[in-house]
Amino acid sequence: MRRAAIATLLAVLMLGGPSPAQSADDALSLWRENRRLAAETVLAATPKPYFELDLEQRRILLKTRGLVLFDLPVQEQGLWGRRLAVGPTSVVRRDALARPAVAIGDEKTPESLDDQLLELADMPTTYRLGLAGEVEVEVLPLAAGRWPLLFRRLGLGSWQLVRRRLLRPLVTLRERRARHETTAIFLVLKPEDAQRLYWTLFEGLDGILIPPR
Amino acid sequence: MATALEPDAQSVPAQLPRAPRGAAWTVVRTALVVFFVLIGLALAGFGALLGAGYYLSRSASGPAPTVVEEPGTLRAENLKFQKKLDKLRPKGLFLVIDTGKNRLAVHDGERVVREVVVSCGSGGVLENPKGGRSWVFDTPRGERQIKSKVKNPTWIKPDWAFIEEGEAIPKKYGDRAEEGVMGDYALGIGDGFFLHGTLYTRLLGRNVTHGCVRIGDADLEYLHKNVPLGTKVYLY
Repeated sequence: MRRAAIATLLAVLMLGGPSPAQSADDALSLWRENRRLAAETVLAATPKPYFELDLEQRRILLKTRGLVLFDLPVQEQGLWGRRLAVGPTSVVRRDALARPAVAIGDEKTPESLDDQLLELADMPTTYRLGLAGEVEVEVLPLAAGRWPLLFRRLGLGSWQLVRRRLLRPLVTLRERRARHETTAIFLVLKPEDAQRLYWTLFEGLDGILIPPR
Repeated sequence: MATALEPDAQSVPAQLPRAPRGAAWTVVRTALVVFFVLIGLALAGFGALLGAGYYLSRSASGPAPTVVEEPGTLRAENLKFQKKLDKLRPKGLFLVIDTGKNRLAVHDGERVVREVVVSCGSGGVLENPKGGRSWVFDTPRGERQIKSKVKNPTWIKPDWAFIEEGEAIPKKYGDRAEEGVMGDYALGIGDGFFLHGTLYTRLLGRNVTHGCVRIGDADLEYLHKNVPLGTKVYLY
């Protein structure tokens, strides 16, 4: 009797299938994957490298021909404003307060060598990227040390807190009233990853944007 | 009749007003209450703003995507895309050059078989003092392939090499040739860019070149021996 009841319950569970909510979720996953693959197939057919800003998995990939060249984890992220869809994008602008620049000199004089070279370490860790479709990405470095970490965990990043939680939302409200909404993305990366990203993402580079659900 | 023990009604002092200390305490207490109420209101306001900010960061405006395609159709289409991507993905032997980290990786499919420290472009800019032309010393990015392999290469100095040294640009082609500065081998990747040797091995790992990729002697010999013509090179 008891065995029969358990068998019936198992049969009901197996034949019942997924709930409508789960089906919708699966369909959305399939659709997002479909949009990503459609965009990647186009980009991978060209000889240029391309990036994948994956805010769902919290990572940034650089790829060429479908091959992953690097994979940077996003430490923290925030997204404000207009909803984004999975699809192609490109870097239209790259702004840093102090853009790195050098003039070539005589490399045989090692004393002045550092001043003459543009290397990964010279890249900024705080900068803005303008993506196609009025998307502003602000890249910030992850503060190192015990106190910044504690402050970050407590959500007391002072100026950043005010900017992210007060100022940007006010901009969002103003834009909604004006019916012209843009999207702002904050990305916090390890300093060396932020520099690597600046080195790699130049104006005109194509990519794929995968927003969170 | 008043007795001696009874106090004289006229000598009893009238009841004194409250001590001034009590009045001060009332003022202080009121001030404290007002202060804490204001602090509370400020905190509540700040909290509400933070909450609104938090909410706004999670509620993007615009319609949510509606999926109209059938899951079966989407699955089939995704499979097609995956197959297409698999075909595009590099296979066999290929080179990947990270111009920022100054590393060259020799790949055999997914596997890295050798990693080499190299030197890539310095990003410097040279302008012709006489005007008109300028050069940016970047290593090109994107996909290229090994187009030529040369043993004991001779450097045919381009115009910028003379301008950089403050020399006059020679008119004869033969005056541009310089022996022994590119190492034992050179692998051309097109547009005048080469993977070649260097006299400045101490600078390997740094961005010091005019756009070519400099490689140490042993690694260069390995590449010359093992990398055939037509091998794809991916630079980023």
